[in-house]
Amino acid sequence: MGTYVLRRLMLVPLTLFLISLLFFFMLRTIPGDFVDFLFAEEGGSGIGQRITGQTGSAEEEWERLVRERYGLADPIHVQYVRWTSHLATGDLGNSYVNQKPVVDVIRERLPATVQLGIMGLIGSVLLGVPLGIVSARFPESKLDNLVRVLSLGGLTTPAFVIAAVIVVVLSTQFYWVTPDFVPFWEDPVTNLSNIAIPAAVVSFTAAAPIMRLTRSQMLEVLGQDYIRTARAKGLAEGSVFYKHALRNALLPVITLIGLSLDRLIAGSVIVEVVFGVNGIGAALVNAAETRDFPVLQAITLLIGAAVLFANLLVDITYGWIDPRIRYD
Amino acid sequence: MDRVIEQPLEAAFVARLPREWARAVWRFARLKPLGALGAVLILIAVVAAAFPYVFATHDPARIVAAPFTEPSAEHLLGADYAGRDLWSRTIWGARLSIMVGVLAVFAAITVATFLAIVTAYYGGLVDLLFQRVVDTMMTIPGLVLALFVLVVLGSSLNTLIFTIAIIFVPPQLRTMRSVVLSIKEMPYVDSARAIGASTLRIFARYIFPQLIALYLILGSLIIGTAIIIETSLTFLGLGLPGDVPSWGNLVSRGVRDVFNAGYRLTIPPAIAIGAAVFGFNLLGDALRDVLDPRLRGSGVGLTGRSARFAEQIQSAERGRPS
Repeated sequence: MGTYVLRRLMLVPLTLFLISLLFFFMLRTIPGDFVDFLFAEEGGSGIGQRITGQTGSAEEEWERLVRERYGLADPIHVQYVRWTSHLATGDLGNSYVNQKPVVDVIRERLPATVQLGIMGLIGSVLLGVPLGIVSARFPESKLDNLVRVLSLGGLTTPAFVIAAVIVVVLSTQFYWVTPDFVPFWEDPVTNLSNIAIPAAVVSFTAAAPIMRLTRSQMLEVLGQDYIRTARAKGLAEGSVFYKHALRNALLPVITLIGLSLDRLIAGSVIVEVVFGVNGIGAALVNAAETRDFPVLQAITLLIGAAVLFANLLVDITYGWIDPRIRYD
Repeated sequence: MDRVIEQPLEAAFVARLPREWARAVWRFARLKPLGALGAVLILIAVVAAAFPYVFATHDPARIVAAPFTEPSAEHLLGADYAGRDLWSRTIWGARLSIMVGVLAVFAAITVATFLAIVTAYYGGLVDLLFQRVVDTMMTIPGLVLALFVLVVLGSSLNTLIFTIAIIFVPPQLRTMRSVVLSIKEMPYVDSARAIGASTLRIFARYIFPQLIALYLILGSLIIGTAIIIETSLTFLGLGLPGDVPSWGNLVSRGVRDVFNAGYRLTIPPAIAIGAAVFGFNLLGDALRDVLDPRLRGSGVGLTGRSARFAEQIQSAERGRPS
């Protein structure tokens, strides 16, 4: 177990390195960088003056100055080494669009996303696991069919469709306007009432796979020999179901819950944009629209690292929850 | 076909074929009513995608009414902010979404199958390298990766298809690779090598046929997810250009126009997206159960990115003493 954890931990920096490499070079090798984009948008002199603080140069001169300012004129590998060495000291560079340090952008945006993620996770577990259990308790009943249709609905309806429908229905029926996000520590009541609906949308989309897996695992475990033995020795059905079957059925479900982070992230990107939550996901979409490379890189790296650690955590806790699993 | 019908024996066979097919379809419908429902939904979407001009009452790009016209017999779902017919735009939207979904998934699975056969068969350093790249790409959620690739490539129909294909290759490659690994150890592959079959022949005649069922299952299962990603990206303003009548754009525009037109511009395209994806997922699930029941409960089909999770569960199962 110890060596396994160690080996998995050693893979983490390698994967992180590969992610950074992949994204860095993908951005730099394709023609049409940030400077081209901005010059096409608002012309050379305006942007040049804003960034360099100088006046009175020719169009081509501006382009050269701006590129120099951002180090875009250096060879790619030099840019990469510079970027990673800054990264190691916690300096993620400045946003191309408003010159704000990327660290500040992330620090400002992270609380909302983390809160949305945690509430979404809790909600999806509270929704998915009990419904899956009930569904397996009475297979092929009306309730079971309802739950199955519901979970298929959650799987098949994109988060943005659910979010969009909720927004238009609420705003036409109740004259509801998407509220501004207020940090939890400033005003807990307003915060919770604002974020409840976005969190519910995230929960619903993440709950669907959990619901389905809980049901199918329960049904599979219930078909095994030791369940028949438990019934044969006269145990009450409730005891067989909740004590003998449930514990074994929930193991893969826990894995899935741990791995649902990427679903939560994808869901919150959409939900943040639709509901105007000032989080990482909205910042990501914004950075994509404006081709703000430093912000884009930092956020994808952050998401990659988060998913990587979540996967590691799942692998390790799995052995702890189920001692029968041996790591070679 | 013409040549076949000239021969009496085969003519009888061909004449019987439609009935056989009808019977098989009927049996499938009886066995898997939800799958059949999915097939019907897909059929509707595919017919709308193939012949939009038959069902659309107006040109989707032309201004044919006053802005925000109420629904009427002339304009079944009313008109949007510019005065274009929403019913016609929703019908034409099917063409884009189905086309992007089908092409991207076809490309992704074909590439994944090819890479899986090659890397799993040769193993070694190339395999290891591909596995690390697959791991890396699968660490990033599909939507985020797609967003990134689209920023790099710029938004257009072709880059959108390419992008969605890219994000589907790693999970499919992993599933396919594990299957190829088990096939390549089978005695009949060894026998083929022993009788002197070339590597290419082994790939094409001995390994690939074993993968066809999985190819179909994975394909039908992920088209729904591909459509979700396409419409989501377009909704976010990063996929297809804003004025193209695609479902993602229609929903996005409907939300923006909510104070002018209420919810009636948002709901119809939203239902269209839900129904199409629902159809593909239902049919995919049913096909999986019928074609390869072993995959049931393995996690294949839970979501587009479920392959990793399926492998997790399988490896956990393998670790158990039996």
